[in-house]
Amino acid sequence: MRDLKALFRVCFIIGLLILFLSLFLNWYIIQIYSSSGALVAEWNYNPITEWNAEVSNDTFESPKRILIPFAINALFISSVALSGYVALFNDLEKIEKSKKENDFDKFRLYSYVLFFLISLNLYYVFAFPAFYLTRNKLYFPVLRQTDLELNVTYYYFIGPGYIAQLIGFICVFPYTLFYYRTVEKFQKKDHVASKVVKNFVQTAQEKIEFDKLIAQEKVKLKYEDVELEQIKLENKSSKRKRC
Amino acid sequence: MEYSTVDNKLQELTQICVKTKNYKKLAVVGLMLISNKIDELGIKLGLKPRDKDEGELIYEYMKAINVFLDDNLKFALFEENLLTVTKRIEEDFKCNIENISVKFVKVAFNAYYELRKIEVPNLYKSYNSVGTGSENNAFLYSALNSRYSANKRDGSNKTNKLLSSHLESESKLLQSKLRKKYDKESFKKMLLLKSAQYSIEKEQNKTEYEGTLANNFNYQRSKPLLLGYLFLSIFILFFLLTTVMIVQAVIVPKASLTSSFLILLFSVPCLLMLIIYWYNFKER
Repeated sequence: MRDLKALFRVCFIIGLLILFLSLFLNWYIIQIYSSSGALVAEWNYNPITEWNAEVSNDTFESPKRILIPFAINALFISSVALSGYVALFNDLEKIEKSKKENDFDKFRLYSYVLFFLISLNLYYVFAFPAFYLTRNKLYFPVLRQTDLELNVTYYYFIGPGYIAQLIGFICVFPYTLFYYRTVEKFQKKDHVASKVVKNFVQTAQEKIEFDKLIAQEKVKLKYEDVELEQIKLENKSSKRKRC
Repeated sequence: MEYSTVDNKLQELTQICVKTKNYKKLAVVGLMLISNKIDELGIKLGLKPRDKDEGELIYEYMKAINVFLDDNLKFALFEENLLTVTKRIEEDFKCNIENISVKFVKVAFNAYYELRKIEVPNLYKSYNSVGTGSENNAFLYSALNSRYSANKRDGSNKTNKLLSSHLESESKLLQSKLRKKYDKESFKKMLLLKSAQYSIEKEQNKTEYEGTLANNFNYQRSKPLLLGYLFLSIFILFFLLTTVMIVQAVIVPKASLTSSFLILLFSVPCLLMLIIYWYNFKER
Protein backbone atom coordinates (compact mmCIF):
# COMPACT_ATOMS: atom_id res chain seq x y z
CA MET A 1 0.00 0.00 0.00
CA ARG A 2 2.84 2.34 0.90
CA ASP A 3 4.53 1.95 -2.46
CA LEU A 4 1.38 2.44 -4.46
CA LYS A 5 2.05 6.12 -4.96
CA ALA A 6 5.67 5.46 -5.89
CA LEU A 7 4.49 2.85 -8.39
CA PHE A 8 2.07 5.26 -10.02
CA ARG A 9 4.73 7.94 -10.04
CA VAL A 10 7.01 5.61 -12.00
CA CYS A 11 4.06 4.85 -14.28
CA PHE A 12 3.59 8.57 -14.75
CA ILE A 13 7.21 9.07 -15.76
CA ILE A 14 7.02 6.12 -18.16
CA GLY A 15 3.79 7.60 -19.50
CA LEU A 16 5.55 10.90 -20.15
CA LEU A 17 8.26 9.10 -22.11
CA ILE A 18 5.64 7.24 -24.11
CA LEU A 19 3.77 10.48 -24.82
CA PHE A 20 6.94 12.19 -25.92
CA LEU A 21 7.98 9.30 -28.17
CA SER A 22 4.50 9.12 -29.66
CA LEU A 23 5.12 12.40 -31.45
CA PHE A 24 7.86 10.75 -33.48
CA LEU A 25 5.89 7.63 -34.35
CA ASN A 26 3.26 7.09 -37.02
CA TRP A 27 -0.26 7.91 -35.93
CA TYR A 28 -2.16 6.66 -38.94
CA ILE A 29 -1.30 4.30 -41.72
CA ILE A 30 -2.89 3.68 -45.11
CA GLN A 31 -1.75 0.67 -47.06
CA ILE A 32 -2.88 -0.50 -50.45
CA TYR A 33 -2.34 -4.08 -51.51
CA SER A 34 -2.80 -5.53 -54.94
CA SER A 35 -4.81 -8.70 -55.53
CA SER A 36 -1.56 -10.66 -55.56
CA GLY A 37 -0.82 -9.40 -52.04
CA ALA A 38 1.95 -7.00 -52.95
CA LEU A 39 2.14 -3.63 -51.22
CA VAL A 40 1.55 -1.06 -53.91
CA ALA A 41 1.24 2.12 -51.84
CA GLU A 42 1.72 3.21 -48.22
CA TRP A 43 1.28 6.53 -46.43
CA ASN A 44 2.11 7.15 -42.82
CA TYR A 45 0.92 10.11 -40.82
CA ASN A 46 2.96 11.77 -38.10
CA PRO A 47 1.78 14.96 -36.35
CA ILE A 48 5.12 16.69 -36.90
CA THR A 49 6.12 15.53 -40.37
CA GLU A 50 2.55 14.93 -41.63
CA TRP A 51 2.04 12.41 -44.47
CA ASN A 52 5.02 10.40 -45.60
CA ALA A 53 4.79 8.09 -48.58
CA GLU A 54 6.70 4.93 -47.67
CA VAL A 55 5.74 3.23 -50.93
CA SER A 56 4.54 5.67 -53.54
CA ASN A 57 2.40 4.97 -56.53
CA ASP A 58 1.05 7.62 -58.88
CA THR A 59 -2.07 5.61 -59.62
CA PHE A 60 -3.43 6.37 -56.18
CA GLU A 61 -4.27 9.79 -54.91
CA SER A 62 -2.34 10.72 -51.79
CA PRO A 63 -4.46 11.47 -48.68
CA LYS A 64 -5.54 15.00 -47.83
CA ARG A 65 -3.45 17.06 -45.44
CA ILE A 66 -4.18 16.75 -41.75
CA LEU A 67 -2.95 19.89 -40.17
CA ILE A 68 -2.58 19.74 -36.43
CA PRO A 69 -1.42 23.24 -35.42
CA PHE A 70 2.28 23.36 -34.67
CA ALA A 71 1.57 25.41 -31.56
CA ILE A 72 -0.31 22.48 -30.06
CA ASN A 73 2.60 20.16 -30.69
CA ALA A 74 5.01 22.68 -29.20
CA LEU A 75 2.77 23.14 -26.15
CA PHE A 76 2.52 19.39 -25.78
CA ILE A 77 6.30 18.93 -25.80
CA SER A 78 6.74 21.77 -23.30
CA SER A 79 4.12 20.42 -20.95
CA VAL A 80 5.65 16.93 -21.15
CA ALA A 81 9.00 18.45 -20.13
CA LEU A 82 7.41 20.51 -17.33
CA SER A 83 5.46 17.52 -16.06
CA GLY A 84 8.66 15.51 -16.02
CA TYR A 85 10.25 18.21 -13.89
CA VAL A 86 7.25 18.17 -11.54
CA ALA A 87 7.26 14.40 -11.16
CA LEU A 88 10.99 14.13 -10.66
CA PHE A 89 11.73 17.13 -8.46
CA ASN A 90 8.44 18.23 -6.95
CA ASP A 91 6.83 15.13 -5.66
CA LEU A 92 3.74 15.63 -3.50
CA GLU A 93 5.41 14.36 -0.38
CA LYS A 94 7.95 17.15 -0.63
CA ILE A 95 5.32 19.47 0.81
CA GLU A 96 6.25 18.02 4.18
CA LYS A 97 9.72 19.55 4.19
CA SER A 98 8.67 23.13 3.78
CA LYS A 99 6.70 24.85 6.42
CA LYS A 100 5.62 27.77 4.30
CA GLU A 101 1.92 27.94 3.56
CA ASN A 102 2.71 29.49 0.17
CA ASP A 103 4.15 26.17 -0.91
CA PHE A 104 0.64 24.99 -1.55
CA ASP A 105 0.24 27.62 -4.23
CA LYS A 106 3.40 26.35 -5.88
CA PHE A 107 2.20 22.78 -5.82
CA ARG A 108 -1.20 23.81 -7.04
CA LEU A 109 0.45 25.43 -10.00
CA TYR A 110 2.28 22.17 -10.68
CA SER A 111 -0.99 20.29 -10.56
CA TYR A 112 -2.36 22.66 -13.21
CA VAL A 113 0.65 21.93 -15.39
CA LEU A 114 -0.11 18.22 -15.13
CA PHE A 115 -3.73 18.89 -15.97
CA PHE A 116 -2.75 20.92 -18.98
CA LEU A 117 -0.77 17.97 -20.27
CA ILE A 118 -3.78 15.71 -19.76
CA SER A 119 -5.96 18.16 -21.67
CA LEU A 120 -3.61 18.16 -24.64
CA ASN A 121 -3.35 14.39 -24.47
CA LEU A 122 -7.14 14.13 -24.52
CA TYR A 123 -7.27 16.58 -27.38
CA TYR A 124 -5.07 14.27 -29.43
CA VAL A 125 -6.96 11.17 -28.36
CA PHE A 126 -10.35 12.63 -29.19
CA ALA A 127 -9.85 15.37 -31.77
CA PHE A 128 -7.47 13.48 -34.03
CA PRO A 129 -9.89 10.69 -34.96
CA ALA A 130 -13.14 12.63 -34.46
CA PHE A 131 -12.26 15.77 -36.40
CA TYR A 132 -9.13 15.25 -38.46
CA LEU A 133 -9.55 11.63 -39.63
CA THR A 134 -13.31 11.47 -40.03
CA ARG A 135 -13.40 14.76 -41.91
CA ASN A 136 -10.93 13.32 -44.44
CA LYS A 137 -12.85 10.05 -44.79
CA LEU A 138 -10.13 8.11 -43.02
CA TYR A 139 -11.54 5.30 -40.95
CA PHE A 140 -10.93 4.76 -37.29
CA PRO A 141 -9.58 2.60 -35.72
CA VAL A 142 -9.19 0.05 -38.48
CA LEU A 143 -10.91 -0.76 -41.73
CA ARG A 144 -10.32 -3.05 -44.70
CA GLN A 145 -11.88 -1.95 -47.95
CA THR A 146 -11.70 -3.68 -51.32
CA ASP A 147 -11.82 -1.74 -54.55
CA LEU A 148 -13.12 -4.10 -57.20
CA GLU A 149 -12.46 -1.68 -60.06
CA LEU A 150 -8.78 -1.28 -59.33
CA ASN A 151 -8.57 -4.75 -57.86
CA VAL A 152 -6.78 -3.54 -54.75
CA THR A 153 -7.44 -3.68 -51.03
CA TYR A 154 -7.20 -0.61 -48.80
CA TYR A 155 -6.14 -0.94 -45.19
CA TYR A 156 -6.78 1.99 -42.88
CA PHE A 157 -5.52 1.70 -39.35
CA ILE A 158 -4.21 3.74 -36.45
CA GLY A 159 -0.48 3.62 -35.93
CA PRO A 160 1.74 3.04 -32.89
CA GLY A 161 1.93 6.78 -32.21
CA TYR A 162 -1.80 7.05 -31.53
CA ILE A 163 -1.79 3.84 -29.49
CA ALA A 164 1.09 5.32 -27.49
CA GLN A 165 -1.14 8.35 -26.77
CA LEU A 166 -3.82 6.02 -25.39
CA ILE A 167 -1.34 4.11 -23.22
CA GLY A 168 0.26 7.39 -22.15
CA PHE A 169 -3.11 8.67 -20.97
CA ILE A 170 -3.68 5.62 -18.79
CA CYS A 171 -0.20 5.99 -17.30
CA VAL A 172 -0.41 9.71 -16.69
CA PHE A 173 -4.00 10.27 -15.60
CA PRO A 174 -4.10 8.54 -12.17
CA TYR A 175 -1.05 10.33 -10.77
CA THR A 176 -2.21 13.67 -12.18
CA LEU A 177 -5.62 13.39 -10.59
CA PHE A 178 -4.13 12.18 -7.33
CA TYR A 179 -1.67 15.09 -7.31
CA TYR A 180 -4.40 17.62 -7.96
CA ARG A 181 -6.85 16.13 -5.47
CA THR A 182 -4.25 15.92 -2.71
CA VAL A 183 -3.11 19.51 -3.12
CA GLU A 184 -6.69 20.78 -3.26
CA LYS A 185 -7.94 18.65 -0.39
CA PHE A 186 -5.20 19.42 2.10
CA GLN A 187 -4.83 23.06 1.22
CA LYS A 188 -8.53 23.66 1.43
CA LYS A 189 -8.80 21.99 4.78
CA ASP A 190 -5.90 23.95 6.21
CA HIS A 191 -6.92 27.32 4.89
CA VAL A 192 -10.63 27.12 5.53
CA ALA A 193 -10.31 25.74 9.06
CA SER A 194 -7.64 28.24 10.09
CA LYS A 195 -9.67 31.07 8.68
CA VAL A 196 -12.82 29.95 10.46
CA VAL A 197 -11.02 29.68 13.81
CA LYS A 198 -9.28 33.00 13.31
CA ASN A 199 -12.61 34.70 12.57
CA PHE A 200 -14.25 32.96 15.50
CA VAL A 201 -11.51 34.10 17.89
CA GLN A 202 -11.73 37.62 16.51
CA THR A 203 -15.47 37.83 17.05
CA ALA A 204 -15.18 36.45 20.58
CA GLN A 205 -12.44 38.89 21.56
CA GLU A 206 -13.02 42.47 22.56
CA LYS A 207 -11.43 44.96 20.24
CA ILE A 208 -8.96 47.25 21.95
CA GLU A 209 -8.64 50.53 20.13
CA PHE A 210 -5.17 51.46 21.28
CA ASP A 211 -4.83 54.42 18.94
CA LYS A 212 -8.06 55.94 20.16
CA LEU A 213 -7.10 55.44 23.80
CA ILE A 214 -3.66 56.94 23.22
CA ALA A 215 -5.13 59.88 21.35
CA GLN A 216 -7.61 60.52 24.18
CA GLU A 217 -4.80 60.59 26.71
CA LYS A 218 -2.69 62.84 24.50
CA VAL A 219 -5.52 65.34 24.22
CA LYS A 220 -6.01 65.16 27.95
CA LEU A 221 -2.32 65.75 28.54
CA LYS A 222 -2.22 68.68 26.16
CA TYR A 223 -5.32 70.18 27.76
CA GLU A 224 -3.78 69.82 31.23
CA ASP A 225 -0.58 71.49 29.98
CA VAL A 226 -2.57 74.39 28.61
CA GLU A 227 -4.47 74.69 31.87
CA LEU A 228 -1.24 74.61 33.85
CA GLU A 229 0.30 77.32 31.67
CA GLN A 230 -2.79 79.45 32.10
CA ILE A 231 -2.60 79.04 35.89
CA LYS A 232 1.10 79.93 35.83
CA LEU A 233 0.42 83.03 33.74
CA GLU A 234 -2.41 84.05 36.02
CA ASN A 235 -0.13 83.61 39.09
CA LYS A 236 2.62 85.70 37.48
CA SER A 237 0.25 88.55 36.61
CA SER A 238 -1.22 88.56 40.11
CA LYS A 239 2.32 88.72 41.59
CA ARG A 240 3.15 91.72 39.34
CA LYS A 241 0.01 93.45 40.39
CA ARG A 242 0.94 92.95 44.02
CA CYS A 243 4.39 94.38 43.39
CA MET B 1 -3.11 41.91 16.27
CA GLU B 2 0.49 40.73 16.45
CA TYR B 3 2.12 40.52 19.87
CA SER B 4 4.84 42.98 18.85
CA THR B 5 2.21 45.55 17.83
CA VAL B 6 0.30 45.04 21.07
CA ASP B 7 3.54 45.52 23.02
CA ASN B 8 4.39 48.75 21.25
CA LYS B 9 0.93 50.20 21.61
CA LEU B 10 0.70 49.13 25.22
CA GLN B 11 4.04 50.74 25.96
CA GLU B 12 2.93 53.98 24.37
CA LEU B 13 -0.37 53.93 26.22
CA THR B 14 1.33 53.15 29.53
CA GLN B 15 3.76 56.05 29.14
CA ILE B 16 1.03 58.52 28.45
CA CYS B 17 -1.35 57.13 31.09
CA VAL B 18 1.38 57.36 33.72
CA LYS B 19 1.77 61.02 32.82
CA THR B 20 -1.97 61.62 33.09
CA LYS B 21 -2.20 59.25 36.08
CA ASN B 22 -5.10 57.47 34.36
CA TYR B 23 -4.49 54.03 35.84
CA LYS B 24 -8.10 53.06 35.36
CA LYS B 25 -7.63 53.08 31.62
CA LEU B 26 -4.57 50.86 31.92
CA ALA B 27 -6.43 48.50 34.21
CA VAL B 28 -9.30 48.21 31.73
CA VAL B 29 -6.88 47.52 28.88
CA GLY B 30 -4.98 44.98 30.99
CA LEU B 31 -8.16 43.16 31.86
CA MET B 32 -9.29 43.20 28.23
CA LEU B 33 -5.97 41.75 27.13
CA ILE B 34 -6.27 38.94 29.69
CA SER B 35 -9.85 38.31 28.62
CA ASN B 36 -8.88 38.15 24.93
CA LYS B 37 -6.01 35.76 25.58
CA ILE B 38 -8.22 33.44 27.60
CA ASP B 39 -10.91 33.53 24.88
CA GLU B 40 -8.30 32.61 22.29
CA LEU B 41 -7.00 29.68 24.36
CA GLY B 42 -10.48 28.37 25.03
CA ILE B 43 -11.61 28.53 21.41
CA LYS B 44 -8.43 26.95 20.13
CA LEU B 45 -9.00 24.09 22.53
CA GLY B 46 -12.48 23.62 21.18
CA LEU B 47 -14.47 25.05 24.09
CA LYS B 48 -17.48 27.29 23.64
CA PRO B 49 -16.67 31.01 23.81
CA ARG B 50 -16.93 32.72 27.19
CA ASP B 51 -20.49 33.76 27.90
CA LYS B 52 -19.87 37.44 28.53
CA ASP B 53 -23.55 38.37 28.35
CA GLU B 54 -24.30 35.99 31.19
CA GLY B 55 -21.46 37.50 33.18
CA GLU B 56 -19.14 34.50 33.04
CA LEU B 57 -15.92 35.61 34.69
CA ILE B 58 -12.48 35.12 33.14
CA TYR B 59 -11.49 33.10 36.17
CA GLU B 60 -14.51 30.83 35.77
CA TYR B 61 -13.71 30.28 32.11
CA MET B 62 -10.11 29.43 33.00
CA LYS B 63 -11.38 26.91 35.49
CA ALA B 64 -13.68 25.46 32.83
CA ILE B 65 -10.67 25.03 30.51
CA ASN B 66 -8.78 23.27 33.29
CA VAL B 67 -11.72 20.98 34.05
CA PHE B 68 -12.11 20.17 30.37
CA LEU B 69 -8.46 19.28 30.00
CA ASP B 70 -8.40 17.36 33.25
CA ASP B 71 -11.42 15.30 32.19
CA ASN B 72 -9.97 14.51 28.80
CA LEU B 73 -6.23 14.61 29.12
CA LYS B 74 -5.63 14.51 32.88
CA PHE B 75 -3.69 17.72 33.25
CA ALA B 76 -4.41 21.39 33.97
CA LEU B 77 -3.41 24.20 31.68
CA PHE B 78 -3.44 27.01 34.23
CA GLU B 79 -1.55 26.75 37.48
CA GLU B 80 -3.42 27.42 40.70
CA ASN B 81 -1.37 30.53 41.32
CA LEU B 82 -2.38 32.08 38.01
CA LEU B 83 -6.01 31.26 38.68
CA THR B 84 -5.88 32.95 42.08
CA VAL B 85 -4.20 36.04 40.65
CA THR B 86 -6.77 36.35 37.87
CA LYS B 87 -9.60 35.91 40.33
CA ARG B 88 -8.14 38.64 42.55
CA ILE B 89 -7.68 40.98 39.59
CA GLU B 90 -11.31 40.60 38.56
CA GLU B 91 -12.61 41.05 42.09
CA ASP B 92 -10.38 44.05 42.81
CA PHE B 93 -11.40 45.68 39.56
CA LYS B 94 -15.07 45.35 40.44
CA CYS B 95 -14.65 46.64 43.99
CA ASN B 96 -12.14 49.46 43.41
CA ILE B 97 -13.02 50.57 39.92
CA GLU B 98 -12.68 54.25 40.84
CA ASN B 99 -9.45 53.88 42.82
CA ILE B 100 -7.21 51.76 40.65
CA SER B 101 -3.62 51.78 41.85
CA VAL B 102 -0.36 51.35 39.94
CA LYS B 103 0.10 48.10 41.81
CA PHE B 104 -3.13 46.71 40.35
CA VAL B 105 -2.01 47.62 36.83
CA LYS B 106 1.33 45.93 37.44
CA VAL B 107 -0.35 42.74 38.64
CA ALA B 108 -2.73 42.74 35.68
CA PHE B 109 0.06 43.22 33.15
CA ASN B 110 2.16 40.53 34.83
CA ALA B 111 -0.76 38.13 34.64
CA TYR B 112 -1.27 38.98 30.98
CA TYR B 113 2.35 38.33 30.10
CA GLU B 114 2.28 35.08 32.09
CA LEU B 115 -0.77 33.99 30.11
CA ARG B 116 0.92 34.89 26.87
CA LYS B 117 3.59 32.31 27.62
CA ILE B 118 0.94 29.61 27.40
CA GLU B 119 0.49 28.51 23.84
CA VAL B 120 -1.85 25.82 22.74
CA PRO B 121 -1.41 24.09 19.40
CA ASN B 122 -3.70 25.28 16.69
CA LEU B 123 -5.67 22.10 16.35
CA TYR B 124 -7.16 23.26 13.12
CA LYS B 125 -3.89 23.63 11.33
CA SER B 126 -2.83 20.48 9.58
CA TYR B 127 0.42 18.82 8.66
CA ASN B 128 2.39 21.71 7.24
CA SER B 129 3.07 23.13 10.65
CA VAL B 130 6.13 22.06 12.61
CA GLY B 131 6.27 18.29 12.73
CA THR B 132 5.95 16.33 15.89
CA GLY B 133 8.46 13.81 17.17
CA SER B 134 9.63 11.55 14.44
CA GLU B 135 9.38 8.43 16.54
CA ASN B 136 5.77 9.03 17.33
CA ASN B 137 5.05 9.91 13.76
CA ALA B 138 6.67 6.77 12.51
CA PHE B 139 4.89 4.73 15.09
CA LEU B 140 1.52 6.25 14.37
CA TYR B 141 2.02 5.97 10.70
CA SER B 142 2.90 2.31 10.78
CA ALA B 143 0.33 1.66 13.45
CA LEU B 144 -2.49 3.26 11.60
CA ASN B 145 -1.51 1.73 8.35
CA SER B 146 -1.27 -1.73 9.80
CA ARG B 147 -4.61 -1.11 11.42
CA TYR B 148 -6.04 -0.25 8.09
CA SER B 149 -4.62 -3.29 6.40
CA ALA B 150 -5.57 -5.48 9.34
CA ASN B 151 -9.13 -4.32 9.10
CA LYS B 152 -9.09 -4.87 5.40
CA ARG B 153 -7.79 -8.39 5.82
CA ASP B 154 -9.78 -9.93 8.58
CA GLY B 155 -11.30 -7.20 10.72
CA SER B 156 -9.38 -8.43 13.71
CA ASN B 157 -9.68 -6.38 16.90
CA LYS B 158 -6.52 -7.73 18.43
CA THR B 159 -4.26 -5.34 16.58
CA ASN B 160 -6.46 -2.45 17.56
CA LYS B 161 -6.37 -3.39 21.22
CA LEU B 162 -2.62 -3.68 21.14
CA LEU B 163 -2.27 -0.34 19.43
CA SER B 164 -4.74 1.28 21.74
CA SER B 165 -2.85 0.12 24.84
CA HIS B 166 0.42 1.29 23.33
CA LEU B 167 -1.05 4.71 22.60
CA GLU B 168 -2.53 4.81 26.09
CA SER B 169 0.85 4.22 27.71
CA GLU B 170 2.45 6.82 25.45
CA SER B 171 -0.15 9.42 26.37
CA LYS B 172 0.18 8.60 30.08
CA LEU B 173 3.87 9.39 29.89
CA LEU B 174 3.09 12.69 28.23
CA GLN B 175 0.37 13.42 30.80
CA SER B 176 2.80 13.06 33.69
CA LYS B 177 5.27 15.27 31.83
CA LEU B 178 2.61 17.91 31.29
CA ARG B 179 1.48 17.80 34.91
CA LYS B 180 5.01 18.69 35.93
CA LYS B 181 5.46 21.43 33.36
CA TYR B 182 3.27 22.52 30.50
CA ASP B 183 4.80 22.73 27.06
CA LYS B 184 3.12 23.15 23.73
CA GLU B 185 4.90 20.37 21.87
CA SER B 186 4.07 17.66 24.42
CA PHE B 187 0.50 18.86 24.43
CA LYS B 188 0.35 18.64 20.67
CA LYS B 189 1.77 15.12 20.71
CA MET B 190 -0.68 14.03 23.33
CA LEU B 191 -3.64 15.39 21.40
CA LEU B 192 -2.52 13.47 18.37
CA LEU B 193 -2.14 10.29 20.35
CA LYS B 194 -5.57 10.75 21.83
CA SER B 195 -7.03 11.42 18.43
CA ALA B 196 -5.45 8.27 17.01
CA GLN B 197 -6.57 6.26 20.01
CA TYR B 198 -10.11 7.54 19.69
CA SER B 199 -10.06 6.69 16.03
CA ILE B 200 -8.96 3.14 16.72
CA GLU B 201 -11.40 2.57 19.53
CA LYS B 202 -14.35 4.05 17.73
CA GLU B 203 -13.43 2.42 14.43
CA GLN B 204 -13.55 5.76 12.74
CA ASN B 205 -12.08 6.30 9.38
CA LYS B 206 -11.01 9.86 9.88
CA THR B 207 -8.01 10.67 12.00
CA GLU B 208 -6.82 14.20 12.45
CA TYR B 209 -3.10 14.02 12.29
CA GLU B 210 -0.40 16.62 12.41
CA GLY B 211 3.11 16.22 11.13
CA THR B 212 4.26 15.82 7.60
CA LEU B 213 2.25 14.95 4.54
CA ALA B 214 4.06 11.64 4.10
CA ASN B 215 3.03 10.71 7.64
CA ASN B 216 -0.43 12.11 7.40
CA PHE B 217 -2.95 9.38 7.99
CA ASN B 218 -5.59 10.81 5.69
CA TYR B 219 -3.02 11.15 2.97
CA GLN B 220 -1.88 7.57 3.42
CA ARG B 221 -5.48 6.45 3.38
CA SER B 222 -6.07 8.29 0.13
CA LYS B 223 -3.37 6.36 -1.71
CA PRO B 224 -5.60 3.44 -2.74
CA LEU B 225 -7.60 6.02 -4.66
CA LEU B 226 -4.85 5.84 -7.26
CA LEU B 227 -6.18 2.44 -8.25
CA GLY B 228 -9.61 3.99 -8.56
CA TYR B 229 -8.19 6.72 -10.76
CA LEU B 230 -6.68 4.03 -12.96
CA PHE B 231 -10.13 2.55 -13.51
CA LEU B 232 -11.45 6.06 -14.05
CA SER B 233 -8.80 6.73 -16.70
CA ILE B 234 -9.74 3.55 -18.57
CA PHE B 235 -13.39 4.57 -18.35
CA ILE B 236 -12.63 8.03 -19.76
CA LEU B 237 -10.59 6.51 -22.53
CA PHE B 238 -13.27 4.05 -23.62
CA PHE B 239 -15.90 6.73 -23.26
CA LEU B 240 -13.97 9.00 -25.62
CA LEU B 241 -13.39 6.19 -28.08
CA THR B 242 -17.08 5.36 -28.02
CA THR B 243 -17.88 9.01 -28.68
CA VAL B 244 -15.43 9.04 -31.58
CA MET B 245 -17.13 5.98 -33.01
CA ILE B 246 -20.53 7.66 -32.72
CA VAL B 247 -19.17 10.78 -34.45
CA GLN B 248 -17.72 8.58 -37.20
CA ALA B 249 -20.98 6.67 -37.61
CA VAL B 250 -22.80 9.98 -38.10
CA ILE B 251 -20.30 11.62 -40.43
CA VAL B 252 -19.31 8.55 -42.45
CA PRO B 253 -22.40 6.35 -42.82
CA LYS B 254 -20.35 3.92 -44.91
CA ALA B 255 -18.47 2.89 -41.78
CA SER B 256 -21.56 2.78 -39.56
CA LEU B 257 -21.67 -1.02 -39.40
CA THR B 258 -18.10 -1.28 -38.16
CA SER B 259 -18.69 1.73 -35.93
CA SER B 260 -21.79 0.17 -34.34
CA PHE B 261 -19.89 -2.98 -33.57
CA LEU B 262 -17.04 -0.97 -32.05
CA ILE B 263 -19.45 1.23 -30.08
CA LEU B 264 -20.76 -1.93 -28.44
CA LEU B 265 -17.26 -3.26 -27.94
CA PHE B 266 -16.05 -0.07 -26.27
CA SER B 267 -19.12 0.64 -24.18
CA VAL B 268 -18.95 -2.67 -22.30
CA PRO B 269 -15.51 -2.03 -20.69
CA CYS B 270 -16.49 1.62 -20.35
CA LEU B 271 -19.49 0.73 -18.20
CA LEU B 272 -17.56 -1.95 -16.36
CA MET B 273 -14.83 0.49 -15.37
CA LEU B 274 -17.39 3.04 -14.23
CA ILE B 275 -19.14 0.46 -12.05
CA ILE B 276 -15.85 -0.69 -10.52
CA TYR B 277 -14.82 2.88 -9.80
CA TRP B 278 -18.20 3.93 -8.49
CA TYR B 279 -18.67 1.09 -6.06
CA ASN B 280 -15.12 0.67 -4.84
CA PHE B 281 -13.28 3.94 -5.06
CA LYS B 282 -15.61 6.87 -5.35
CA GLU B 283 -14.80 9.41 -2.62
CA ARG B 284 -17.61 10.08 -0.24
